[in-house]
Amino acid sequence: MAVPGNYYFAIIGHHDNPMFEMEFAPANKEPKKEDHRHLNQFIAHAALDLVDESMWTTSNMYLRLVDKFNEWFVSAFVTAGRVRFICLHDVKNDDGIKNFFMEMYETYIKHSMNPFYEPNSPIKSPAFDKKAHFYGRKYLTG
Amino acid sequence: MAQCKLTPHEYIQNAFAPQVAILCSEDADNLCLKNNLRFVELIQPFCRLNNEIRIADPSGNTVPIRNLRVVFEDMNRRPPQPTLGKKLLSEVVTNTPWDRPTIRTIGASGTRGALELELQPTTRWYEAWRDTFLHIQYPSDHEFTKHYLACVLVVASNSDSPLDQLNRLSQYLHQQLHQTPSRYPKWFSPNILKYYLLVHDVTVGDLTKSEQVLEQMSSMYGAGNCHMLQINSRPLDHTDIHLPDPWTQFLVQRASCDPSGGSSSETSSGTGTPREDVSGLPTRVTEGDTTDCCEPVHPLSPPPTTVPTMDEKNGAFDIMPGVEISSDVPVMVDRPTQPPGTPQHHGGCLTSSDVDRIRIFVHEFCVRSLIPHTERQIRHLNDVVTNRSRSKSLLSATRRWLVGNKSPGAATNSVIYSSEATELQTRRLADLCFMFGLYELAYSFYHTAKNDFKSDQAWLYFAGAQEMAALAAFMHNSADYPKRYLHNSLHTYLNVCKVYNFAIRATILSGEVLKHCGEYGEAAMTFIKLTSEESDLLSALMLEQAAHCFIHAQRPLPRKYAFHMTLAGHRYSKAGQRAHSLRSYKQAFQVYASRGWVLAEDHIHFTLGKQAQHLKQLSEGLTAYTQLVDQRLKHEAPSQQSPSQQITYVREFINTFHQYVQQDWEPSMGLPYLPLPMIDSQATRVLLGAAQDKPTSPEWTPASHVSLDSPPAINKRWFALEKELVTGASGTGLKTFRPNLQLLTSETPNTQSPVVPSNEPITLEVLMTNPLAVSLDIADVRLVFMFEGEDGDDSSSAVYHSPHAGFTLPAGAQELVRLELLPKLVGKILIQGVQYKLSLTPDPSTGAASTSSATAPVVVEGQQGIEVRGPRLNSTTAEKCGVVYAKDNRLDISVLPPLSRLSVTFHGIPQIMSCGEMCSTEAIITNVGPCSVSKLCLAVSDPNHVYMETHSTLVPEESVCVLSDSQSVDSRINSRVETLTLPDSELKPGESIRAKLWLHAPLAPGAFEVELLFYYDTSHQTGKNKYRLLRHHESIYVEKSLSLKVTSAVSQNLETSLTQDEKEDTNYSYTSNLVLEALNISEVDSSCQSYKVVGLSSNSKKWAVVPHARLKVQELRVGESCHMCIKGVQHINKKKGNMVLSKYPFEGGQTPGECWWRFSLRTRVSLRDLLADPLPPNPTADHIPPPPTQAQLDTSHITEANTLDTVITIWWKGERGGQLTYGEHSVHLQSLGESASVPSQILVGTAEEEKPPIRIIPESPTQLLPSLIPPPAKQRNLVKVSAQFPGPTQHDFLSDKLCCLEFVLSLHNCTGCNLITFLNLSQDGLPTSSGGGSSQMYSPQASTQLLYVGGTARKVSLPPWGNRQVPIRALITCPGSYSLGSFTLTAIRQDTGRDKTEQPTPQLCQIQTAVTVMQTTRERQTHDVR
Repeated sequence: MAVPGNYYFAIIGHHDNPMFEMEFAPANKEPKKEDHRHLNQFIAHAALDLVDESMWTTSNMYLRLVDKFNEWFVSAFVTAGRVRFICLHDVKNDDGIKNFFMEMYETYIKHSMNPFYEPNSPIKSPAFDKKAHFYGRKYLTG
Repeated sequence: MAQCKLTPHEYIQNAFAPQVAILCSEDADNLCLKNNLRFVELIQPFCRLNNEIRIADPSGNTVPIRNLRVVFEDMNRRPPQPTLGKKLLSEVVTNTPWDRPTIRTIGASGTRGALELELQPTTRWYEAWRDTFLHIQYPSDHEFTKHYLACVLVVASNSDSPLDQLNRLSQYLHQQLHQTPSRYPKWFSPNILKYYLLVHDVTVGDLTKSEQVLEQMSSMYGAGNCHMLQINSRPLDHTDIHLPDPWTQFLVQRASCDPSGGSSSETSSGTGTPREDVSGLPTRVTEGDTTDCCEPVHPLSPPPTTVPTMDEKNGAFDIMPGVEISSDVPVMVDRPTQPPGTPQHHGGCLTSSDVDRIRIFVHEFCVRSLIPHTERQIRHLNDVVTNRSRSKSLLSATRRWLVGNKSPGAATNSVIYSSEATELQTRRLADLCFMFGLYELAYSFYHTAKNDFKSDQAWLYFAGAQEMAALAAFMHNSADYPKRYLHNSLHTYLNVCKVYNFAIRATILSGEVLKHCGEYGEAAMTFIKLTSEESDLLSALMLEQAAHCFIHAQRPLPRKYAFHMTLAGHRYSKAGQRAHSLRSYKQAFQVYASRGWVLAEDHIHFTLGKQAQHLKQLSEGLTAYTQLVDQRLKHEAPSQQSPSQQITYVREFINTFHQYVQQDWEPSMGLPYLPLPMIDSQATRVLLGAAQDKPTSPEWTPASHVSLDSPPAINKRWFALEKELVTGASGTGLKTFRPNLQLLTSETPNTQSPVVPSNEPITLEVLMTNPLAVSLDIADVRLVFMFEGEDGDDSSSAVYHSPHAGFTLPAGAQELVRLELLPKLVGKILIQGVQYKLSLTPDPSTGAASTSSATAPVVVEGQQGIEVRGPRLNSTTAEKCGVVYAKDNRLDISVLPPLSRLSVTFHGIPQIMSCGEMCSTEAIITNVGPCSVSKLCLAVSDPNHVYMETHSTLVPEESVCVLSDSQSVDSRINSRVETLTLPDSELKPGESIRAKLWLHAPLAPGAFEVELLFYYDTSHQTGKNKYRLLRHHESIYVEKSLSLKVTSAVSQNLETSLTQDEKEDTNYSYTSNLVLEALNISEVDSSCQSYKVVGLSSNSKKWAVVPHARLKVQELRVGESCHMCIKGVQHINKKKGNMVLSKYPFEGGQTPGECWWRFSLRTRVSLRDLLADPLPPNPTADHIPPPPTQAQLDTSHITEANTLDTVITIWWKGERGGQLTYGEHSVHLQSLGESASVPSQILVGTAEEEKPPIRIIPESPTQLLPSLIPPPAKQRNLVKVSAQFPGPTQHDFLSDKLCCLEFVLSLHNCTGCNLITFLNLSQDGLPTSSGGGSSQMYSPQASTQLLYVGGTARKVSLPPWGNRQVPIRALITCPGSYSLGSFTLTAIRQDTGRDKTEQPTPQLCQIQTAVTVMQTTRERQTHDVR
């Protein structure tokens, strides 16, 4: 299911604030240069406009492709609490991203049930990191 | 997008205005140049007709044209080269000013998504750019809108022969018109309109002569095509410049469009002469030499060798002799060489009537000549097109059928039409109609042409026609805009023909149209499509327009806007448009601000900083860089940048800061604020007063006092001690106690300004943290403070200030910086912050490599404020609802007049002690301040173990002594405070007193915290801060030594009391047996392992110890124990306050030092815990208590009978490191029969009171008033029993079988209450084993042979302390020894009948006495075993 490629995953809170960010690169390649990391943020942030539009057109949480910029595709997922998951990818991997989103949704819900976690604040849990890493390897980069 | 000045209709009309060429003679131009204007420029402002004119379409209907604009161009003007064109465009964008942004709310205001954005209301640079862009486009062969429709030939009336000149110009024009192959300029058709203009200078020329010339012209060229323009009515020197200057706006644009040759240094003309319009107006030389060249020479290429000669002689190389055309050369000579852009007045010789004449000329030209000419042309072309179209359409239809409908893109255009081809004629006709406002007609012709071109697969032609068809449809009816036409044409331009210029034009136009139609998303997409790698400026402009489209859409997309603004800013910066880049980034940042997109923010800030720095907007750049390096606001999301990136940021920040300070900063405003490193204001600590002086001898240690180095003190304890001190010293209770602080931290209550006497230092500790992964150098740290003297003077000498030299702060490190102030005068000091010099730590690797050339890192100096606040308040409702912090005044310090100051030194306080060890140290208390001390107190947190004395008190030598009230004060201390007496009741400056500090290590191992707090005042000093404090804290390690267990047992013995002066109410003294067990529990690795028990002592109100036998010194090694048994005897003690102190040194032992008895006495003191809340005031304390009831009296009597209240102390001796150590262990026994041990955890397995079974539901309701009577277990020792029995008796059993023994039981009441005693001698009365099994320690009876006779159950009432003899008889039957056995005794208070709850407790008495009865022949003997 996994398709090797570059992925960037972000969870975005209600105030357009990034709560969690993670990049996935194919295992065999070295990670991308750091110079362009800000571009991911720009693209993800810009895609929010289209996410906010397209989430009203469907009852699904998974919105599929919502935006495209140069070589990057942007897929999105909106949770019941209107927290937005954004995934930038340079390869097509619809099923993998969908599964990844679903797993991350579950992980996120579990994390948000922690009474010490304040909603909309950055997620700093190492366990969450680990899970995201695991699912990223499982469904995205392979 | 922002709003455009022009509506889309106006704009499209302008973009496709009819073009008219001007061919001007040199004389005419010179004439105009008096006004600083060339002829073309002169008429430029007036080429729009303000009134409505009418034009007839081919069918004869007249159509109105509003605001027809005609573009007059110099015939010789050539569009610039692409490279130059780019430069022109770039300059236009640079030089166009922009408006202030306005604020708009995006999204529903008040909601979460609402955003307040500063948006650009107009984008004038974009409008200027697109005007210029269209202006510099080359006319193309596939369209005719840029082709000249007419030509105006201009001559001056004052030239030699205007008619000849006209003639020559006509010939030149003819030549241009009919040249083959056709080249620039492009003509609409060979048959263009020619118009002849005579310019007449009113001040110079002769009007009649000119009119004659005009007449001749009219006769030659037709009256309708000739005109005379009279200008320059005003004399040249008349410099009245009140007239409006309508030329400026056109010339500004022009000046920016035309790069000045002089400004471009690359132009290697070699003459140094400024050459304007190099590209706009090619020279004649170029013209003549390069006849086959359809393009002007590159302005930057080396010019032909002939060029320089132009200056020598005008027209020398004119290849058309006799024809004098206007050239730029004279223009250059006459025009003042001013840098472009400087204000310059134009039209100085023109009066308002002259201006009107120019207007009339333009109007005449249009109405009289141009419109009729156009009408003729339209009719002619219409005829041509309609006549040929029918035959043509068949052919094209066939071809279309044969070829099939090919899509564009199959092949590039290869069709070449002749200039007279029908398709082109159709297009020409359509263009003509479009230019003159016949849009409906134009659309039909464009449509036809489009279809024709498509069938011919002439894609460029097709795309052009399609684009124009769409525009014509829009202009005709703006609601009906065929978008697909536009898409198609754009696609064809871009992908098939690859003609970007036309694609750009189509985008510009369609963008306007789409926005007009409300299709913002569509428009944005169109704009974005044009962005490419090639042209940064174009991409930037297009992206910016797209961004504006996003934000102005029906549903605004602010995030898309921000992204595209960022991209635009990026491209602007690549295109060198720094100001625009800065603006775009700034506008984009509003959307990203403070949301946590740190990388994006860093990128934006860095770019902003860079651009602002280049634009010399230093404060703005500094703000951006500050945002980059400032980590204070980013605690939620710290910098994610790599260290190298952070170094770049910091370096740029420092450089900008440096420049900013040098250029823009006002030194009078103090130092600018630095964001690095982070200062944790709350962690700031303030130490007031000087540290304790170092003693001269190393054996002495100073009092620890308070210092910044010591571990954080437990302030609560010290404050509690201080409170006790202040209360004790002042003698009255304090209403509000406020501790006198010497070290102020965030933990201390800082609501009051701290005080410091003058000439004593204030030390401030500041915590600096480097949040970055970059090493920083901090140097020359100073405090920023304000001093305000008491009498208003704030002389700088009032405070001596010592700076900190500096340090290196590695990545992520923290540093505590200490700064000292020494106030010299009374006043107030307000500390505001710190100032320091900041620089990057030079990289050691590069620094070593290039020591000589190593550029010293830029050092900047700035300050940071320190702002402290108190704890959050939470008492009132307002404070609970809001977030209110207490005031914190720790940086607002009052300086007082000098005060006394104490210095205390100690001589050798041990670091390690054994449990119970005692030692003393010398202490010297010196007044080192300038004032004398009149009162000195000391508070000790643990007076049981620590005290200080100035004069030692000795104890009497007797083994048992009664201490008087004053001697036994140690046992009654109730406060931790003691006053140290001063010689002469004052300690003058420099004087000192000696004292002894006694320490008694506690019996529990661990840390022994010795906390001493000295309190002293300054004589003759009044004011709120009357006293000063000095702390000493010592932590001594205490290791295990001995454990001591003392068990007391009741003795039934009655002895005479020890005192001689007895009698009165007591005849007997009671004794008690004490069993002592000492066990060495020290660890194997303890410093002292072997202890010798050398003696013991006791103190009590009435008990004294006497040994049963001589005891010897016992040595105990680890794990060994010894047991001792001593007797406690009552010692009659009359006075209430007196104490009985008995001591008993063992054989070979001695007392452990002179102070042992004080600690021994202090053992019985138990003070309230230092941190406990004060007791609530006792409400009954004031009135006299009621007389005690009988029950209460009885209770006290019963309790007293059981009370032992004795402290048993053993002395021991040990040896540590060759030094003898002495110590004592004390146990406080409260009541008889009890056992106690120290350390208390040893207490296991001792006889405890029986615990009742735990009941969850109480059997009986708990009594509200608990009975005062002690529990039954405490009532056991109420009555003592002793037997008085005969000695050994002889009885002749042979004669008398029964022997009757008579003896007396003596019952003694130990209490002061009336008791009723039940004595049961019968064996039935004994408690059976089922009753209290565990307490049955003795066998019920020793012998069954003995039988009590007579009254075996007696009831005896006993008066207080009374005795009663009870005679008893027993019978025995044979000789032998008989135990008298045991019997039960029950004592109950006499009046207990009223109290049902009290149950008498059976008291088991054992009279372990044997009676021996022998036959009469033998001796009788008694043996008392006890």
